[in-house]
Amino acid sequence: MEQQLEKVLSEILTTPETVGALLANRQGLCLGAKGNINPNVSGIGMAISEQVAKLEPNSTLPATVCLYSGNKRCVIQKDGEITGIIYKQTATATTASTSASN
Amino acid sequence: MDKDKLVVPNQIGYLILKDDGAVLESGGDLKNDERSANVIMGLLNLTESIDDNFIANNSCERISIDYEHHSYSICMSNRHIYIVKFSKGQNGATTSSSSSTSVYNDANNELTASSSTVMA
Repeated sequence: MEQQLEKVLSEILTTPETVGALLANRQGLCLGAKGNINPNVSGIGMAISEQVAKLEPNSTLPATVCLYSGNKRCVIQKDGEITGIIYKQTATATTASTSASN
Repeated sequence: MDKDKLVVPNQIGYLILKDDGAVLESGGDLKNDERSANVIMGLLNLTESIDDNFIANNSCERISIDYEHHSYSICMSNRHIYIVKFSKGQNGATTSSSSSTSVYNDANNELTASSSTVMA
């Protein structure tokens, strides 16, 4: 099972501008992390995804949350039991292009 | 006049909150939506400190929440929180036309199938 998760995380890291990726379970425990990302982020990332799920509880498809700070962004998506957190960093702070690439 | 300025393309709702979460202005889908305001205030409290090594505390300048057909954009400025709800461009026209042609094809197939059975 871990091998599959590791494979998925490695695939995520190959996408442009990605510096780190992490998967968390329902309890906010880190299932796996790759790249430049702190495994302790799993708890707060899961809490953010749970909070966003309250915004539209009737929505069938999960929402994607993106936090922007300069040339960095943190993408969080919850899908069922698993929450994914991805760190992205662009070479220059161009917020317009970063929003388009999402 | 101020409210006219607030309207941006594809906007379907907006909320303006004070930094303590009090609703100052609202409109569209988010009119008097204190529940959404409370959820977003909870989200902002959570985003204050994610990972100091990547995004410094309190340095998050914008948050977007994307759904399939709409999205929210949240910005902080001058101790106010601006929340805008956008609708996404609908490209359902092409999918509905393709589905109607497939129905048409199915009907044709049924017709040919029934005529072949009649012929048989």
